[in-house]
Amino acid sequence: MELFGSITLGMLGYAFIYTNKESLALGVGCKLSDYQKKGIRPSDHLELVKKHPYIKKLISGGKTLEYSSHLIPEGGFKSMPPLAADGFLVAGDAAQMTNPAYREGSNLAMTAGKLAGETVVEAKRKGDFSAAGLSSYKSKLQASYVLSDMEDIMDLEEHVERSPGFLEFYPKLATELAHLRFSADGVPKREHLKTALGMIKKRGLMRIAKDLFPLRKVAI
Amino acid sequence: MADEKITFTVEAKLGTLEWKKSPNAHIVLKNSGADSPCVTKCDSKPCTTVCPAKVYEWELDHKKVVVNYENCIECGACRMLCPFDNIQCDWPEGGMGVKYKYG
Repeated sequence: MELFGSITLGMLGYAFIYTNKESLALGVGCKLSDYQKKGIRPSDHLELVKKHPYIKKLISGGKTLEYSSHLIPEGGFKSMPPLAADGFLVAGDAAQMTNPAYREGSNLAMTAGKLAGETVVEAKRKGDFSAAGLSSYKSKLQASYVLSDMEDIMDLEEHVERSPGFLEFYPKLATELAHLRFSADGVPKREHLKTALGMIKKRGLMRIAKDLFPLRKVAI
Repeated sequence: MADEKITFTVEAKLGTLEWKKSPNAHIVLKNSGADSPCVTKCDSKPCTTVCPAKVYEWELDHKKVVVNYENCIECGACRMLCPFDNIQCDWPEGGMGVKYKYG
């Protein structure tokens, strides 16, 4: 379960509950520079999330087993270091291999690790561990989903940040549309449709087109 | 009483963790003197709010940022956080540092 909108206090990020076999992972993550600017303690932010009426209900009676925190390097495609140099290859977090649009990262790291392993086996056979000798690592990554997915999302974060009100409007629209859809409130559905169109028109069709067109690569 | 169970201070949260403590500090301020940027330039001191383990504390009386490196939960945020690049944070030496049980 993921939560967007007011729960991030105007920062770029989201809160989540993931289910493990015997426990839950509850957390919240926002852009580091947003925490820096706002002066909000991430630990306090987590407490706010836990007090949200919807979350509170779900975790009531639960016990905190462990506290943890980690920076996720979401610089992405444009801030990747050279992936091969004399004597070493870079994979996973160190290579900025994350895909925040799909909550992926460990899979990219595992694939990259496997491809790095294969590259090293080839390099050993050739007896060449130079950057040139290891360069097939990058082409292997290009042929896999790793670099193409990272390329497709490289401008996404900037786009969302540059679209004013994006993170407020869309989560709110989604919940209100769902509310209308599932309300048997005695109001004719054509009135519901009018209300929905009103919300969309308020943001403006051009604005919405500008908001959504850059998201086409992550539509599925 | 369910509320009490889920309302935690940073200190209580750190209480859920264990560390293998190293005698060597893996985090140091590049300049910790009276002329450090922490004292002379930095008003907002984001290290004191953003660090999830309260490793960095501003001691008003002594006018210095104290580094409680033993609290570190190795998130790596401080490596990018200091507006004056005054934090040097490496990982603790092999086998040392925080021990996560659940991931």
